Amino acid sequence: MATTAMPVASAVLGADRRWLFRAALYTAAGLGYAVIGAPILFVSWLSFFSNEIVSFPPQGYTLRWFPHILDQNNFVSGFATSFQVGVVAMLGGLLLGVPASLVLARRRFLGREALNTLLILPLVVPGVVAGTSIYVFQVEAELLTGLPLLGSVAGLVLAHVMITIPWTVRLVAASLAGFDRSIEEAALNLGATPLKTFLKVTLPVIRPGVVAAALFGFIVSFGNLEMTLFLVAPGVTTLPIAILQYLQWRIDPTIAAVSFLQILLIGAGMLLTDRYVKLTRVL
Amino acid sequence: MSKTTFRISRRRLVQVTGAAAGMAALGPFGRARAQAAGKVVVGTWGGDYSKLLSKNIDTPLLAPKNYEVVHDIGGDPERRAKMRAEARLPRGTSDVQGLSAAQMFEMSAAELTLPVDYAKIPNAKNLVPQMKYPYGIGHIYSGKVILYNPKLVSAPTSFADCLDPKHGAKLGIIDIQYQFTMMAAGIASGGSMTNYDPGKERLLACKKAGAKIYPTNEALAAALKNEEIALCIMWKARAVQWQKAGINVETVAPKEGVPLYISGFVIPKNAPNKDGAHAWLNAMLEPSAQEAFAEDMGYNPTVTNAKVPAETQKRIGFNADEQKRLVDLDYGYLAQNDAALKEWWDKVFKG
Amino acid sequence: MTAAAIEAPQRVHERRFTAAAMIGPASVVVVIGLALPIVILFRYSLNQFTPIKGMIDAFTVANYVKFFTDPFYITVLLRTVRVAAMCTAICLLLGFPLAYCLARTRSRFKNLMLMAVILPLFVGNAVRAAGWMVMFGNRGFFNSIFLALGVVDKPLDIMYTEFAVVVGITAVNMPFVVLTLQAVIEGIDRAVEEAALSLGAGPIATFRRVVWPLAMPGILAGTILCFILAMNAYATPVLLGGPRFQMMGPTVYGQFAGVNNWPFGAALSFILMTATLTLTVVANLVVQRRYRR
Repeated sequence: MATTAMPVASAVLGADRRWLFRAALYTAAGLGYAVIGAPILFVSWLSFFSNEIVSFPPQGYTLRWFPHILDQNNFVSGFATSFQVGVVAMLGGLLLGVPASLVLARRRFLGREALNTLLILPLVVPGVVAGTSIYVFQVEAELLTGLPLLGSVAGLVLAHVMITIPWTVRLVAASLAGFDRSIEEAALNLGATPLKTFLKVTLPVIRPGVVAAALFGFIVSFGNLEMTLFLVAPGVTTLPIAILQYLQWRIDPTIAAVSFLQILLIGAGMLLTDRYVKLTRVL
Repeated sequence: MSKTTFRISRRRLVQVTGAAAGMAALGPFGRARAQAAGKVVVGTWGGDYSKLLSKNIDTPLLAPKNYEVVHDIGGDPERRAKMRAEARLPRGTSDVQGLSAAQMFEMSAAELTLPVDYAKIPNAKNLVPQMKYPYGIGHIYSGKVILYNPKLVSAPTSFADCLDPKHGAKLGIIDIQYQFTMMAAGIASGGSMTNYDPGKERLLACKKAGAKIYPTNEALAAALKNEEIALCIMWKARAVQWQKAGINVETVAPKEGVPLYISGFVIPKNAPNKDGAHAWLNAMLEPSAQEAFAEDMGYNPTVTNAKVPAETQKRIGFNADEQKRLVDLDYGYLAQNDAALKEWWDKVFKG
Repeated sequence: MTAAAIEAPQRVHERRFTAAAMIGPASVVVVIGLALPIVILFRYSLNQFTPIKGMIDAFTVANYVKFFTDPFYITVLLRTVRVAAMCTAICLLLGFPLAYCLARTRSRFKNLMLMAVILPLFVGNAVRAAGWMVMFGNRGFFNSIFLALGVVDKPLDIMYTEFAVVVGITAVNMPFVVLTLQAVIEGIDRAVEEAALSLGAGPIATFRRVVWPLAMPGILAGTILCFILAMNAYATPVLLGGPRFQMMGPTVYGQFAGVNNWPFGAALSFILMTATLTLTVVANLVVQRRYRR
């Protein structure tokens, strides 16, 4: 760079540039936050509008949409189903994904790339395509076996476990990058059992990856709409489906109130867990 | 692809992320496909339709007979797709499915429906003959009329007057109503119920003049409310609902004819509970249930013994003169041409 | 040592078995849960469609020919690629600075700042699209302000435009990109940056020569993820793009559910997935060649 030629000038110019650089950085970061947060803020705002058909500016404010939510049984039971499926999918995804990623990250073997690609497939396939093809497959399988697979809880949960696998594999593998295998070897040579080695040596290293995988596993299952649409049994609904079905019929502050409540609930859950995990943190 | 790594792991995240696990309240979940003897699965649209079916049919009429009614809620496209996909199974997942008359015909033409056993449906004796099909039963009906905002435009008299480029951007068109829109444009331009083609030019001219296309009925309703648009074509029943919601619209029965919109129910041929399905269809025709739909949703009953108050009848119904102009669609033409109509709509009209 | 050497062959065998037991279950779930269904769908894409009857068994490439000979569908695919590329670029442009700030901040509210990025992920795409609708509508937030200020005399069309879709998808994907990048940047030692600065490199040079290359694996991962999610987007284009702004995801859905043309829907699915995969693999190769090896 030309600036190295004149040290004094560059120091002056550097301070100025640094200021500009900071300003640009913070502006871009602020814009990023705005894009992420704006829709959430506006939906929350909408939940207090008094006019039923959304128009701007609001004619007034009210809390009357909130009691409405409880009349809508779908939202309550949908939230419960989504939550339960999400937790099971997350746990299933960890159970299947963590061991798989350990192998993928540390072994070199024939077909490794193929397996790697296979396990990331659920992320690449569009939700609509996955939902349709799994549904069709269930029909074919039910024809073949006579088992009532269509609309079964097992089918739904299996599909949700599957979409969490790419996240687990990627995140855990990433946390293993740069991990020195000789530490594990040392533990084994010193007489530790493989299980003990895993718990005492490997797990602490991959823990951030596992926690991140748990979070994203839950999120992708909890929020999945397109795939689930084809797989739920009659009478069963998840929160995204309940919201979509409502939005197809009408857009009004009730749906905003549902979302606002959901935001509050999840936000509170996060804050609570934040405190708890911090206290018991081992790292 | 394979070299990709998603590194989202840091100590800080650990704290934030326990949320999901922390909130886990694992309860018993999932309802397996019901095996109960008296369970009836009803495929229906969501929202008010589903709610009113529960309130007026399931709870008062079928619960006392020990039927447990479950709704398979979804748009008709998904439910039709599912009916097609599971047709080969000996045992399907639904007992009755709510569809428009055109779709009922299409499903029966594809041999996916069970012929209705009218011996099991005593209430069918009161059915308006037009609503009785071998493969299904009309539940409620309305007609396609013109809606306009009297503050912004003078009353149109015909589809030709409404679907006219002179209205520019004041004309609203609904995407999911492509069939009825093309039909209305067709009969406004010298076409017929078996030939919508003459209307295509008219629609393109309207689009060129700035007509607005909205994805759903609800999106169009919001635009009417905002006075973004001033006129459109829609079921009279929806106009009644929108008037109730405070939207300033009047309706006109078009000169060319009032195309019928019939919503009804069919029994998929592999329905697990065929007796239950018939019992449900019978309950659906009960005068009390039909009257409630007229009052709450603005649709006309399909049975002659339903007593709709004169005041309601005036809002939702059609007078003697308009009655004469009610025209049924040609369902064979629609079923045969639906894919082609949709393709023209997507590629040429919206493109 | 010698004892270990003698033991080796048996241990290798044992370890192979363990490895298979570890990776097997996940693979089986994905094969049964997705790979086989996709194979069946591929078979469907070779079938024929007729009105009323729907799908008829056949063995034809007609559905693929239909796509490639019809400018309409090609346009839809190109439009999808264009939107996905724009969303990815914006996500990177705004997401990188945000991730950098998050990674480098010493604020005690760092937890809260991270939560603000994660929380929107829990709120469905449809709801977030509804949020944009409140802002973009003819009587929405922006138009009311513009009209009140006299900037325009009639409402601007913001809804149902490419702009609305790009903003909507960007908002949906941004948290994923930010979190990916934030983790990688935190892995870069601050000392390296400070060294560069103290050696006289300007902040821009430090950024370009030090932070950017070191963060490259994360940038690649984040952009690829963002691109895939944007190519597959469904709810956002439907709600914000409106009827006339057609993208691949909704088009595929329309073929399956709307007109029940399963064979063509299946063919569209494979064209979409192939396009996405090809573009990501090519981008991956190009970037890797430039920055490593």
